[in-house]
Amino acid sequence: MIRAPRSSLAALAALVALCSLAHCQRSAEGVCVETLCFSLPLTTSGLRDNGRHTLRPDGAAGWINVQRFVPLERPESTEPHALARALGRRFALASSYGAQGVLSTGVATLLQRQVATVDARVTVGERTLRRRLWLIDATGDEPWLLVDITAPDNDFDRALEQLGPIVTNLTKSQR
Amino acid sequence: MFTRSSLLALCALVALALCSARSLAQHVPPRPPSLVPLTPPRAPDLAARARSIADEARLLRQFPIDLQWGTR
Repeated sequence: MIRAPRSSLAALAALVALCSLAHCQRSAEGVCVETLCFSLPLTTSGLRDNGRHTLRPDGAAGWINVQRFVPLERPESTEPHALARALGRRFALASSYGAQGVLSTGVATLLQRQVATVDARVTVGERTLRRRLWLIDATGDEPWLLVDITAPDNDFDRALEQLGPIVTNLTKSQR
Repeated sequence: MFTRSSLLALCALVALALCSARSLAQHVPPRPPSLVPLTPPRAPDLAARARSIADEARLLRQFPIDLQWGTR
């Protein structure tokens, strides 16, 4: 029987501890949160609070947020363009903590289907951030998922280059 | 018989009376300023405001999300 060196065991234990701290599930696909799996490096730190997650890969210019929610009222239309416009108006409503400028709304392919997207600029205090959101709607009482890439305004293009393919190629986990 | 001076005085009186009468006839009291019909002050569009509040409440129910998440 081949014995694993002590250093390997320590690394494995550290990885398990990191995952436990990050409240995430690591699998062959990468980092999974709220049934969504991202091909992110192991050096991704995580933060979780009641269905909301932030994944910060080391060295990336930005970070990925995931939110799970169940609409209390279904939107009038779940057609992706209509959803994007509605989400844009919802985003513009949140002005209590900073300016929320919706730059554009549109549609993109995620999980092999069309989903709503919103591009926005967020000002929090003296920081200006840029954000691209993808809305994964669901039927019935299933939770919806909001995924976004956020980065400082001046570094957003780099963040989108690094993290955009990871979001657009995300997969659904089985659990 | 009237003397010439009394006739002149009489003529002057008659002329004065005629002038006064004409002046009175021409006198038109100033017209009161024309009244511009007042439009009632524009009432706030309460119906539109109510619709806006209802729209906002609907959006919050449709998207109960925390847009502050991930901005810090």
